[in-house]
Amino acid sequence: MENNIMINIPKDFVVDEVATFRTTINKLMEEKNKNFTFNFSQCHFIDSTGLGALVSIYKKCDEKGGSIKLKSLNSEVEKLFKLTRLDKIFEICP
Amino acid sequence: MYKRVQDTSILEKELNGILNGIPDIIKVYNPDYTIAFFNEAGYNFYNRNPWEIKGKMCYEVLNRKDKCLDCSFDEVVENKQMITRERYIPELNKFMDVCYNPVLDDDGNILFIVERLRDITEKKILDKILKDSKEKYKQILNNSPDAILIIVDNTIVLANYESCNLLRRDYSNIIESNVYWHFPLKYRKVLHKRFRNVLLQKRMKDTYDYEFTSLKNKKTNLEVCCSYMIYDGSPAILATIRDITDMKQELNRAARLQRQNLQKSFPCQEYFSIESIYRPANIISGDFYRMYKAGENAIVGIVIDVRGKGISAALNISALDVLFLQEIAICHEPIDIVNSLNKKLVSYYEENYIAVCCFNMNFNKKELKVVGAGINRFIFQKKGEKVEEKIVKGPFLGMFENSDFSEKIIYFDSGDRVFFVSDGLDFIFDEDKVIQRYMGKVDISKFKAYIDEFLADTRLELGKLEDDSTMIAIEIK
Repeated sequence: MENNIMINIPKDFVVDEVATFRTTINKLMEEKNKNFTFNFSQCHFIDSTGLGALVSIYKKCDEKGGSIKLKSLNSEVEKLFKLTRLDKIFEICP
Repeated sequence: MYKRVQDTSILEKELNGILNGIPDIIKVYNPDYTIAFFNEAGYNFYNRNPWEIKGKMCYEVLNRKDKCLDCSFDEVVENKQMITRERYIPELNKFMDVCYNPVLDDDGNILFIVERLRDITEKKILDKILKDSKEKYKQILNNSPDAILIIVDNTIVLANYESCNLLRRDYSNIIESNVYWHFPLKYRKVLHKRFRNVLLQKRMKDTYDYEFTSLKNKKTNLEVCCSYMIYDGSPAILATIRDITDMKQELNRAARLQRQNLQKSFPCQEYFSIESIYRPANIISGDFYRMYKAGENAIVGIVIDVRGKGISAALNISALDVLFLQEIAICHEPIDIVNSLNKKLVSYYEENYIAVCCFNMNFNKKELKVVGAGINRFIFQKKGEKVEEKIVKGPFLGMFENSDFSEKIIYFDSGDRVFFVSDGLDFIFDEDKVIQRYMGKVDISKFKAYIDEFLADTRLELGKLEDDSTMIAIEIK
């Protein structure tokens, strides 16, 4: 069974937070991790930069045969994923 | 002699209950400097029993043979007044706060000398650490190429050389001065609010810029980045100040170009009235809109929102403007334009995904077609009816090669209205629908004025807008 890493998404997943997030994930991917679950239970807001970062990570993981799961999205954040049809790309878990 | 010993015993017995309840060390001496008795804290501190020390000289308790060089007893006996001083006891490696208090009889003769000692070693160590860290702070600050201030209770408590250069003042005029005094009068009220928010919300990197005018009328732009910190045990603000005059001039030039490039007259205006809002969050906007004629009685338009708010945003906007113009030379269908732009951008913009909403209005067919890519909501209002939030699903441009964009087709009539907004105005879609209700009741110019005022208030309150804010409001004639 391959390792699945859970990462907590910050309360406001916007441009300032995205840089740190990207560095963390890139480091984990360099260490050969490719399966991630992003826990949105604390996240109240995500902007286009946050969405963009998630899509880029998804593409990288997908290339390596990995997976991305999104967990515990609040209704507003989930609405954004639906509007942008990214709910069809990411596996969204309760 | 016997009476003196008796007096001392009575005194010790009477006072023991009180003195033993005091955490400080209390030592009672006879006028000949021999020890009468200690309180419990005193015996514990020296790890001695009463019978070991009574009648001995104070220095003998520390196993010394001679009195200390800085002994204060002579002074107390001579002046018969209380004295307080700090002492270091090397044998115990302790710093003590010592108070000598002579007890006099009715004739003014010394009966006893009471010495009260408080262990201040921890305090002294903390003071030293604090002093060392202050020195380190100063060193770090003075080695910084940026001007740095530390502000406590609106007072500048630490400043480096560069801050003196930048604020054009001597160090003595900066240190311990009120921070507001160094800013132009017009900023003081808003600065007070910002500083208060940094402290209350423990904000980090709260950045704004301010225009200073020198005595020679030369304008300088200073960027002040404030972060919450604890300094000397108190909540403080670490303010880093940078001269951004040159950069600001470049940005202003780019912003001017952006504004000049913004569309002021629109095609087919015989069919509709239009109001637009274009408010960059900072100087350069990442938003843009453009409308072209698409045949005899039709228009095709686009609202663009690119990532970032700097020069890169301006470049992206210009590129998109050109690409859009290229697209409409080939087709006028929003779905085809969006699909084509997406295919072109997918290989160029890694992670710099772009949000657009593309629309076509055919005034012959009275038909509106809208396609969303990242800008997924717009407002439509049939004349005399409630405003409706319309959804056009679709990812940002450049995210996936085969992205699926949806198109909404609406048929309109005279008096109907449509509003396209960028995400800086997303509050229009708030759950409570307060703004939408107002939007439905007033004409588009009144609504524009309302949003303009709202954004101006936000800018006054926060110093800048959270995001670039753009709106196109169209009312069919």
